[in-house]
Amino acid sequence: MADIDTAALKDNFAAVAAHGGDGVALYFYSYLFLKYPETRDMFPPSMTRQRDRLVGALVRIVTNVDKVGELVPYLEDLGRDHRKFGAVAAHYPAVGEALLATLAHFSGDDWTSELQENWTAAYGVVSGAMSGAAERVAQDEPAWWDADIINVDRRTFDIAVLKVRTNTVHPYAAGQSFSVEPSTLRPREWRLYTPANAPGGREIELHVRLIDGGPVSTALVRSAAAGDKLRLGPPFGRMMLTQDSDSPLLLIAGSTGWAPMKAMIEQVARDGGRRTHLYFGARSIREIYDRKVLEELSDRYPWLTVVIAVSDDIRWDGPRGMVGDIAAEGEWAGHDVFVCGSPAMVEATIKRLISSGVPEQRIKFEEFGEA
Amino acid sequence: MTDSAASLPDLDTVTGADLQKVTFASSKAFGHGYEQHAVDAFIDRCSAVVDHLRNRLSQQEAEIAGLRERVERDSKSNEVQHAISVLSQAQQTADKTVAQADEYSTRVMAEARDLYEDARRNAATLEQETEDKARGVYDDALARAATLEREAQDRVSQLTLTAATAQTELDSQTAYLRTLRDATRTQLEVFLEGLLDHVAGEYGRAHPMAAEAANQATPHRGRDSNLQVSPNGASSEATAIPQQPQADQSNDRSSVAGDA
Repeated sequence: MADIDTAALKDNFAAVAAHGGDGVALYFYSYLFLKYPETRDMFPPSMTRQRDRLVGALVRIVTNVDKVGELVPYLEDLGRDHRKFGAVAAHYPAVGEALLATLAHFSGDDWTSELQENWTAAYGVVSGAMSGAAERVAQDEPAWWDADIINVDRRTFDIAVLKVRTNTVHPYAAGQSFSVEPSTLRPREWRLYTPANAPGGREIELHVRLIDGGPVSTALVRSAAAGDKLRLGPPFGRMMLTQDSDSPLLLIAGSTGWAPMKAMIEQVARDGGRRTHLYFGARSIREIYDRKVLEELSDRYPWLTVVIAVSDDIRWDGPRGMVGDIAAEGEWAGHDVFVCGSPAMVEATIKRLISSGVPEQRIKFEEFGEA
Repeated sequence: MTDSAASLPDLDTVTGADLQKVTFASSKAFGHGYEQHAVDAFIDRCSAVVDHLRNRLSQQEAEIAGLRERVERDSKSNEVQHAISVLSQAQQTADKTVAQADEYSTRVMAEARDLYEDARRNAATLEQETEDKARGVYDDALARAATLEREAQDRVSQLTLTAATAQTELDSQTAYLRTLRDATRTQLEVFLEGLLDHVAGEYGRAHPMAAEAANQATPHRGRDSNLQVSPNGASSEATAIPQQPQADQSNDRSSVAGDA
């Protein structure tokens, strides 16, 4: 951002944000929908979460406006991701106009033509990075992938295993996620899910856990049926197997955190197999929702050891306690470590691993997203 | 060059320059024309006035247009603000409604989940207790069976003991009876022989030849003839009748009677 007065931008933004981020975002979207009513259809009826995301993105961009090296990769990911909403190059000027109108409105008498110019220039850089990235991938991949639900298997009242078929192969790597929109049930609501099988085919297995009060997870677990349509976004996330590594693996999964691990085990099997320890944790026996598969895999692959830990069920004869505590009792020098589960489980597990000597940079993790 | 007032452009657009361009034909009649200079000066003055008025008119018109535009813009900006405000309120209402629905759903799920977890824990406890109890009952039954077996064995061995004792008793009774039989037989034999001797003797005294024949028929009489047969028929040298064994007789009786 060469000749932009980034200090002035930051000050102005701080002053505007003092009015309350939610109010600022509310004005922004109201202006945008008033002036460009056709954009309203790109968003769901409730805008609470969307406003939070907008504020988060703006804060992040303004904070890093001087650190171009950090900002640009973020903007490029964002731009590529926005294609799934149907965002096209023509939308960017409209958004810029709404943004400037919002800033001017909340700045009141402090709004100057210099601020107008600086903000316009800054927005130009942002939208350029975003739409440029979107255009670059446009040749290689679609904006989204259409899919149909083939089968819904409710393993417990709040965990379901979905079989989904895409029209074209999705380019995710084992361990990565993508955002999912239940087009039939909850249009325009997107949430991140991780496929539980290795890539290459058109069939994808998703493990969905019902989050209380969450519209998408509730719909997918309780209301979804074969024939419902989905849209899938581009691949997301960095928890993947390291290329050409044959270090032994330690996989620690809590509940539906098992999905990426299952995909990675399938990938490892395809690549010839390597020493793998899988620790699966659940609160009660009923929550070992994929028990048959866990036992099958353990029998089939001699290089795989499966340990199931249950934390709160007196009927369990096996290891009892939190899966992180039980896993940390082992010796994991030289292992590649992967952890996936709820935010609380991931935090606790990583803490235990580090305090038992596992180097932090060898641990990759993914947490459950929002509801 | 326009050549008289009749050809001036109309009032709305006439300017000072237009007036300056007007020419007048020279008057033909001597003494009825105007002084050229006076007319020129007058035209100058008029054109200045026209220009001045024209300028002021433009200014006023611009000002009015500006005011009108401002009024219009203000009212439109107010409209825009009003519309934005209405839209924002509508959005907030929608957000609140959805949030309430989500909260309700969360509460219901949380309650259902608590109930389910309670039920599960209770079921697990019950299962555990039942299993423990069942195992307890089984262990109990096993212990009791062992006790019964032991008691039965004890009884068997007791009975065996009793039977053995009875057998011993029986054996000694039998032995006694045999001995008694033998003794009685012997006694009888002795008595009979004594009687026969007596009869033979008495008969012999009566018929000595019959006595000799009888003597020959019974060779063992030699021994018995030593015996003195008493008149009541009992031998004084009779062997004592063995006593019935007394040992444990009452005990055996009672233990036999006691086994019911």
